[in-house]
Amino acid sequence: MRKIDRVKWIANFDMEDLISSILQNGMLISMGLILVAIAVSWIQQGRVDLEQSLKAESIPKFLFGPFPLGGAPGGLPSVLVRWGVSVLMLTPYVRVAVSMVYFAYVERRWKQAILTGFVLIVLTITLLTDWV
Amino acid sequence: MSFEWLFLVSVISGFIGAMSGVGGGVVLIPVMTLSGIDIKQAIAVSSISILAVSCSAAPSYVRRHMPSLNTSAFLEVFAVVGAFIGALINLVSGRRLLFFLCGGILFLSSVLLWKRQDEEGARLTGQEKFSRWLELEGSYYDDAESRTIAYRGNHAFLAGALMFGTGLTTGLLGIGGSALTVLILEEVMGLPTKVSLTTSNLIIGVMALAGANVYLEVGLLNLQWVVPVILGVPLGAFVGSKLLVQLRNQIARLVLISVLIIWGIEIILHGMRGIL
Repeated sequence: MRKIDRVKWIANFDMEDLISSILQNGMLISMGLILVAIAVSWIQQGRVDLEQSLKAESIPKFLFGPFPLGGAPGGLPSVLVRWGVSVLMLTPYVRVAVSMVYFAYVERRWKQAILTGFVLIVLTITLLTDWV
Repeated sequence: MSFEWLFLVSVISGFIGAMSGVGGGVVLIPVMTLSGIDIKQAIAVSSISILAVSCSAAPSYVRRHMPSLNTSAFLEVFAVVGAFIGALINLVSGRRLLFFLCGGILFLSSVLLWKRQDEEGARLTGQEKFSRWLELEGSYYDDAESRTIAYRGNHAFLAGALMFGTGLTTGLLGIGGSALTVLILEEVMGLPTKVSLTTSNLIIGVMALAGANVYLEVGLLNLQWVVPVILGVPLGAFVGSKLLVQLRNQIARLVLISVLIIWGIEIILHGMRGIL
């Protein structure tokens, strides 16, 4: 990107709008998935049956563990709820990741980029590894 | 506890959490534990409710440029490490003494907030070198006062150390993160109340995530309780966040003080009854 284009792009870019959209859409997608799960549970069983514990060693296993869909305890509704919870949990993570990219590559404010980068690393470690 | 009842409690907790900046657990944990749900499971569900409050209340604040992104970037470093360690401690500890201490700290905090009567406009004070280096200053447009309010954050180093303790408390207890963060932002860093409330809404999301993942790993998140919380908290938080933007500063402060006192009483009573 030419320098003058970059300056214009930065001037028009609203970081707050982007963060706001990430948080709002993350919450809405999460709620949507859970509402669909409730509807499917109601259609399949005539009631909402959600009595089970969520457990996984890491977010990827939590998100992708219950495949094939029919194999998960609780079936499709359980899978949809897992995805809903995962989206909610990953929303602040994505917000931090986007903030870091913004500070590093758009505003070139290295102090803030390093700080958000550290937070991102800690969150990544806790999300990807089995600590307990 | 039925789905419908927990959904209603979640709506109320989301409303209070967003409007006062104390997170969702203030209502949720006492109600859940008094209904016979295990405290550790209630704390785990509370961490999800904090996530929901953060994701649903923060967007409207962020769009209005109210939170200080530089301040949240700095404080999250300490908060996230504290929250993760706190959640790990939760798994191996009895917590009655910690609840008593936490209740006492909240009473003290509410007294400090009650005594201080500074207005938003008086916030543009001097700034020490480290906070200036971190660029902890900014401004926002206050709808209630119809003017732009500039501010400078101070004492960043002390605030960072205290944020580690706040993260620890949040990871351990599932409540208090937002209330204590607001206190640090207001009392230590000298930020305006609305900037403190809205910035804390961003920070608590990251803090709660660090704790929630630990609870997920040990199976403390129960679908039966997680689902009504995820659906109910955002509804209450959405209304609460709309109200905060229009509230005058003193009202936001009074709401926060009231909630701190209620939370302190709840925690001490829980400890005395030995149901923790």
